[in-house]
Amino acid sequence: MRKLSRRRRLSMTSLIDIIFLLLLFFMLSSTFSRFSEVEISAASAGKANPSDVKMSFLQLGEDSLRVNGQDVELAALPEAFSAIAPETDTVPVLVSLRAEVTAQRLTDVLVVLRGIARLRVNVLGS
Amino acid sequence: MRKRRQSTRREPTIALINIVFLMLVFFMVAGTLSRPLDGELTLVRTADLEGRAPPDTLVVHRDGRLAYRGQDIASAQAFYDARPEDARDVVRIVPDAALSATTLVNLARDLRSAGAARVVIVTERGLE
Repeated sequence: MRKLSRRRRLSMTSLIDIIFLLLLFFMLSSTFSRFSEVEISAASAGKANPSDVKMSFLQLGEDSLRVNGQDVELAALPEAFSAIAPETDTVPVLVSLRAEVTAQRLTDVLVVLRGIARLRVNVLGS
Repeated sequence: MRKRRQSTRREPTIALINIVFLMLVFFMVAGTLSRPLDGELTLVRTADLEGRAPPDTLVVHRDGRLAYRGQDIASAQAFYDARPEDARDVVRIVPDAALSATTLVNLARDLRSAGAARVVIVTERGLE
């Protein structure tokens, strides 16, 4: 009878041991940042554009954004591009970067451009 | 006398286990296990893009230094050659937010000329 009660009490401490171990492991090893991805320069390099297609030129600075020479706000980019050649299926866009532009700024613009279906973006390096 | 002593001794085990189990389940469900990225990297932040699994790939620091799993890498070509065959089609890079965009584009171009079909930037998704 006494043996039985002893057997029952045994497991609690080791159970807590194991659970704490698991808890510590998961607390220390898990990450909570969520990742996503965006493709850089979707158009394949070296693929010749048909010469009759009008290209657009986007100049990107750290706080400036110009489409074909006209200043545009980042939020107004979709409207600016919907005005360009409305009848064609694809609009090739060349993005040229000022020297001070950071990866953050480029990504912001790429995310907006990615939402416009008919653009074929090509980013110019150096 | 006896009664009181026994009751104080046995107090909180079940409640303790309850809480600890709760925390355990929370961390198991909410956290994702992955290799840590380099310490001093600030990721590029984006909103409204689909999520994906944590990356295990090339890290570019703000000064243009390349690293993979904490080890410095000499060039984009060296990184690409070390990749396993099935991971060569799409190459992901994790740039620092303050990295010069020109460096990033040049790196993407190098990777593409090394043979990658697509080059993808991995960013941190804002909690919105």
